[in-house]
Amino acid sequence: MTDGEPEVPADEDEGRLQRVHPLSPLLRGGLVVVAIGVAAARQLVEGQGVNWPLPAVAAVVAAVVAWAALSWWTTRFRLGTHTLRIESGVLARRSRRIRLDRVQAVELQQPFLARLFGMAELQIETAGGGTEAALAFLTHAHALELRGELLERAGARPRPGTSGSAPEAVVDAEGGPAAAPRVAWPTVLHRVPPGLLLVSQLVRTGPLAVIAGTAITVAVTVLLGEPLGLALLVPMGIALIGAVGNGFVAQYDFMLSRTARGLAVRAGLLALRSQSIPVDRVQGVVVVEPLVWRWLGWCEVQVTVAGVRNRGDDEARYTSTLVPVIDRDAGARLAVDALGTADPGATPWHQPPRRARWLDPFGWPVLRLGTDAGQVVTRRGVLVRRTDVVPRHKVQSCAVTQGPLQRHLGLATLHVHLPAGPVAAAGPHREAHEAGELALLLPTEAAPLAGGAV
Amino acid sequence: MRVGPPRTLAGVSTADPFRVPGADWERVSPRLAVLRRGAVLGTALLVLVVAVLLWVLDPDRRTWWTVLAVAIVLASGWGWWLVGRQVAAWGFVEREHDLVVVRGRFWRRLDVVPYGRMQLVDVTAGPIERAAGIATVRMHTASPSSHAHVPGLTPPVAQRLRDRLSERGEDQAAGL
Repeated sequence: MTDGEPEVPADEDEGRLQRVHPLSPLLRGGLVVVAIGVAAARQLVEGQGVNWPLPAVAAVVAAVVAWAALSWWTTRFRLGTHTLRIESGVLARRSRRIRLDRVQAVELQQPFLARLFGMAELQIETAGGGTEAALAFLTHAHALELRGELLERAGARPRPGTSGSAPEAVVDAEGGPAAAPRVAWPTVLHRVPPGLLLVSQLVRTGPLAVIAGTAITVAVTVLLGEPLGLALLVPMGIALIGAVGNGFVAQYDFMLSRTARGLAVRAGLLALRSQSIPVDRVQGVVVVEPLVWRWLGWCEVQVTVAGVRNRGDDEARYTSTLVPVIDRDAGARLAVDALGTADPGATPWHQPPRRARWLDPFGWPVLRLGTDAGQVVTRRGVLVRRTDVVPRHKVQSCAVTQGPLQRHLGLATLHVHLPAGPVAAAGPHREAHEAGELALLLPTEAAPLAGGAV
Repeated sequence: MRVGPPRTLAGVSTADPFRVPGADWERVSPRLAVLRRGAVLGTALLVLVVAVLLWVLDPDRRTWWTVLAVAIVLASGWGWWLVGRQVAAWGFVEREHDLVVVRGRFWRRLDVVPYGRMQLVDVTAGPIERAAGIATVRMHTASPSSHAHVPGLTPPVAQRLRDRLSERGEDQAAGL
């Protein structure tokens, strides 16, 4: 299946019909097969003999295998110039046509089992934030090549105002005829050493709270001479390993690189995640600084990208990560890179009026809001400090809210709305007229600007 | 101290952020108040029936059940008044490039949604709303946080609003 032949489809329907790798059904149903095998083996070993009616088992297995083979045989895809067509279904045929100019991102995933076999899954995402289609599984090389082609054809349509189109043209000029499929060699921007990653995950606010709780438990136990408290150490240890381990496994060997079309992320200890971040689709950036990280001068940078799945769970958190831990200044530079705008640090920002301390005594010293011609920058958070940066032309809508106490003090909160993702710029307890003024200015100014460019 | 951008809207100097300059607010239909007051009364009646039943069946604690009944009457009276104020607080205005929606008395909210960002404009009406002859218009952008909606519009008004919004959305489309 690793057919590296270049293809020049004259028409969208003339692309070669392809199938996913024959091992795919096995990899997809892999765990079920293993479980059944283990159950059967155990009964054999325990000397009970397999007491399932053998002909029935054989029939079921044969049926499952036949179904898997049929569904593999009937699932075909064809990559044309403008569309990707996927046909599937044994009884009810299903044919999907995905317009390539609607493709927002192509993600390459390698679940653990697939990784052992050198296979990968391609997830094609379109506007709306869902996985539109998945091609599972392809050999790693084939998947890479296909992704390159998909992204290239997706970006072929000139999009106004994209920063991605110019470098692509340069690559085309260097790479010879456009027909030759190639994977642009990425430049590594940043790598996170495993040791640093582990330490950084350990001193996040959550795990630190667990460690502090454990220390207090141990101290109390020792002081009171009551050994029962030690029993708490086990669940606390498990919680700690869970909190630190997830981040470590998902972000292991994190590598951020620059490609022809934007930025790309690769990470993972067991399942390898490889993801492209088209710079023109970045809606905003948030720099997150947990308490201890601030003393160490570290930060985490996350991005909201239009069309990238966001289900609000752990996985979504990792797919939004631009870099899991980095030096603060380097993080700021990366944020500028991803946004393609001016340095957020240069935007003058201001605190809410002093009377806002009545409503948020601990948060008030941290609160900031600033705007300039290019972007909106806000900062908040006492324990975990976050700085949100949103380019003005990406603002979807704005809202002002005012509770009874705020009304009494002449304050109001400004909300800036973006597509789903980690970035959420907001200015709590601003001077009421300022919040209203900005809410009326920010979105309206953005829309005609972007609209005029089309 | 002016933190805003270099350009300011004429007249946005008022201290009240919910007083948009030049805005001629369109208000929602009083039928919405009728509907919501009906819901308040219905709930109150239901609880009142239970209280009366208990008053009859449980003669030992009649004082308590009387207090409960009075509380229900007072609460529904307050609800009646509150509904009137809330419905009167809803308003929207179509400006040159955006739609502005205000709502709430105690907790106030102002939403600004540019026409160009609207991906979808819905008119919805549940069975009770339909019976009352009103509908809700909802504006959706690419952001799940944009909650702008206007309830209590009569169907022709709602449909005209939706058509106007969609039309302007196409003219000024900005996308992502």
